[in-house]
Amino acid sequence: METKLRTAAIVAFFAILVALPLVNGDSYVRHISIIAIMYAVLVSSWNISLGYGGVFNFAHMAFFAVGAYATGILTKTFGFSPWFGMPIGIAASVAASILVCLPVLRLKGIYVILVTFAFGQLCLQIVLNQRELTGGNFGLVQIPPLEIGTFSFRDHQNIGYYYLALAILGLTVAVVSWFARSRFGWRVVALRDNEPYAVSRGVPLSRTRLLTFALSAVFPGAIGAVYAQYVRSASPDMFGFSFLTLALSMLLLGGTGTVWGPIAGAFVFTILSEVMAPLGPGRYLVTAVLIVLILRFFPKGLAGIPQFVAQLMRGSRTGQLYPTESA
Amino acid sequence: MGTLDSIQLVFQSIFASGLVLASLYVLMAAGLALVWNTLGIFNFTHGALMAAAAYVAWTVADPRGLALGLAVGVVAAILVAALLGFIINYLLVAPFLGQKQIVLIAVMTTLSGAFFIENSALLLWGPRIKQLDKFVEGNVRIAGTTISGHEAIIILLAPLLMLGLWAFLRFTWTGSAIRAVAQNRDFAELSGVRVQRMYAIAFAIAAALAGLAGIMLGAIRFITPGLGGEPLLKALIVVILGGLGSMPGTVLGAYLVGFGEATSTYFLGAYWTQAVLFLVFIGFLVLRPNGLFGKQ
Amino acid sequence: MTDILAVQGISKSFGALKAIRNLSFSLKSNEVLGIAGPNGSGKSTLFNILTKVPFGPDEGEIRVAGESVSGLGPRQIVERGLVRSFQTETDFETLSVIENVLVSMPDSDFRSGKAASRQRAREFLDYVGLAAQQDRPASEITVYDRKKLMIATALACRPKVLLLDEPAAGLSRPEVSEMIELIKRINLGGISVIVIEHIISLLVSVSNRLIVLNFGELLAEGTPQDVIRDPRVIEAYLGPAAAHE
Repeated sequence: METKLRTAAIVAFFAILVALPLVNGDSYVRHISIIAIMYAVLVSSWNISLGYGGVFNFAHMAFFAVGAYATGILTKTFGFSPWFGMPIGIAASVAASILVCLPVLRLKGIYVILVTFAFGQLCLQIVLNQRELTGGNFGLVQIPPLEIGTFSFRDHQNIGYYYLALAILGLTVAVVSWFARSRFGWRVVALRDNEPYAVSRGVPLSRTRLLTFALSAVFPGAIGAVYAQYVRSASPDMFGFSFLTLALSMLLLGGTGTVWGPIAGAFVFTILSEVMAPLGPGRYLVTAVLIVLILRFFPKGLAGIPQFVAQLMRGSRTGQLYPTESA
Repeated sequence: MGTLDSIQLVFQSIFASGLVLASLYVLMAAGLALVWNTLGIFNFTHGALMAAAAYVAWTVADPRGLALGLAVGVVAAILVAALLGFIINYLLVAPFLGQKQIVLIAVMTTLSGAFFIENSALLLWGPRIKQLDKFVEGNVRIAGTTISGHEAIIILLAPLLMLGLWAFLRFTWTGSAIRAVAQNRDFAELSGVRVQRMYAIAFAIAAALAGLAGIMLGAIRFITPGLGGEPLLKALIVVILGGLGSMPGTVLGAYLVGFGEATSTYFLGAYWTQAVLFLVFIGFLVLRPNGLFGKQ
Repeated sequence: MTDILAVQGISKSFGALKAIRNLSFSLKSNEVLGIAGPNGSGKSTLFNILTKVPFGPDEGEIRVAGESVSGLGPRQIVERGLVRSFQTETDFETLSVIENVLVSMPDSDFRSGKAASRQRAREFLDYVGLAAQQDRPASEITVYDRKKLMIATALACRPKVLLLDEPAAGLSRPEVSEMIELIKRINLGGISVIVIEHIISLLVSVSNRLIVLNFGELLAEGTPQDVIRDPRVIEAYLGPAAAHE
């Protein structure tokens, strides 16, 4: 029964997204939907390393930026076909993820945050440095868009990009669902739950970590490429604190370590930010407050709400939402 | 002889700019290290506090603001920074202490705090760029090169401030209590030290130090909400390089990074220097995560 | 009988503390070897060293079925058949009980399809009496069940030598009897066992041979009955006065 309901919900979710452009042609709605879908892909793939893997990988958004820049540079400056954009983005992002994972293998806790964050800053410095190639501070502009014959993906309010992003989201959901119930996924979770125990049961630590990073980096690479072709630019802001904080709040809002939490987080948050758009920078204040409130009172995010409600109904607010975190 | 002269000139200019940078890094990193030593967390609001203090100092001091003069502005800004630090500790750190993942949770809460402060600054002061007056006008000659009087003050202030901090931690009761809490929380608590209060005091002092760094910066760079972003990263590098948990290490780290950066800027240029700095930082994290002087 | 495990002259220091000093012993095929010793005598450190989780010995050699494990990593040691349990009940808390076993099974168990591997995992759970709990999160089962789950995950690795670190600590008397039966059953199935325990009754009833460690050194070795009467052992446990009573 529960699985049937679940399947129905998934089908309904994608049916609505597939049908949306048919009933609504508004370019603003289209843009917001594309952005929300892209965020959903970014956040739910981040969930693989940060949520399931428990590795505090703060380089995930840098993988996205690396994918976007690699695509932009190779298709614009070096004349590769835009259709090579996505493979280029994925290859660059996965390569970057393996590079950053090597030091991570030797480190724990705060050092993982620092080294992954420093990696993003290193990429940023290189981007700023190589102005001829990357456009430096001003960003890389006029990245060639995707076209099939005379049909541009920008036609009909970017309908091509919309469905391309949606297809990537579908693939992401499929992969994350498979991952969560695969032997590989168990190994990743086992290492998060208890690393020495997992190693003592023959779980290969380094190989699993590297594969976790590589798998989670495929999606930001793909979305980075498509994003660069959609907005036709890549900017140094993609390496910034604000972008990282925004994505992090989506992940926390949705709930780490679940398939649907991060996707819900991305959609709810993107729509929320648009609703709050008239507030200007004020909406970032709301964002910041929201993150802290979630961490304080809903450490499991949206995904934890059903359990929270169940506890309320049973009248046991004393039940811990955080079984592992109490000292 | 001509070569020797030019080598000397190069050395002098590197020395002067390195000393200025290093002294700035001491100011930036001192508070960050204090919080890490005492509470065992990284305070990512440290950079935002610098920006906030610079804005407050500007508002109080500038003729377009309250026009009360630079001295009043500096005092007000440091007090406001300390108060902000107190509030940050109360809202973003204290409620989460004792949780297993506190280090990681604190990164997220303080990042949010920084996000909040920076955007509040943008709302309150707008995007127009501002700058504080220099503390003193005119130039000073040291080691054969000329630097501004303001930079000379920074160079003097850094060691004085560290000495003051050291004396405070060493010779006052509160300072000793903070050190006790840092070394062994449970034992300090048993001896009647009020741990939460010591945390709050340490946090407020660290924030005041950030405020001072922000004020010094606000006179040589333009004040924007993101004023503290790059200094925060530099302070992180300095604290790690010096070895977490060691105040002398932090000071040494600051001078090493400062002089290293000045040297590298001279020979490689400003852009490559930043890349090299992060590369060295990553290398350090991997090879000697406990810093230059920490035990392996 | 051949030695399934041979430990020759191993040592391990932490700074000035010598946790294990020049220790040698061997385990015969199908034998159960008990290890006793006061707290801090290096028993758990010995298991850490044998499995290299998280570190190997400073010096000395360990052979499993005649083959040295010196150059091997922890995963390869598991593959050679040396598998341990931990002193405190340990689990993958967010995985279900059966997934705890599945994640511990070697690659070869997954070649004949998903259903077959699940079936295999269920057999291990059945073996320790946890089949009914298979779909519950591991964090929700009792301490005793978690201890048994830890043994099931060790068995899933197909050990030749099973290292049990205080399997009965904190258990009630009937549970201790069940644990004794389980260890005997595992041994009858052809797995050699080394068991660290403070509960002497368990050691006496399962062990063929008993060794006692003190300050990281071998203090006594022999049949359980002889060893527990050895005055040096009594002295190590209870202090010099007790030995002369």
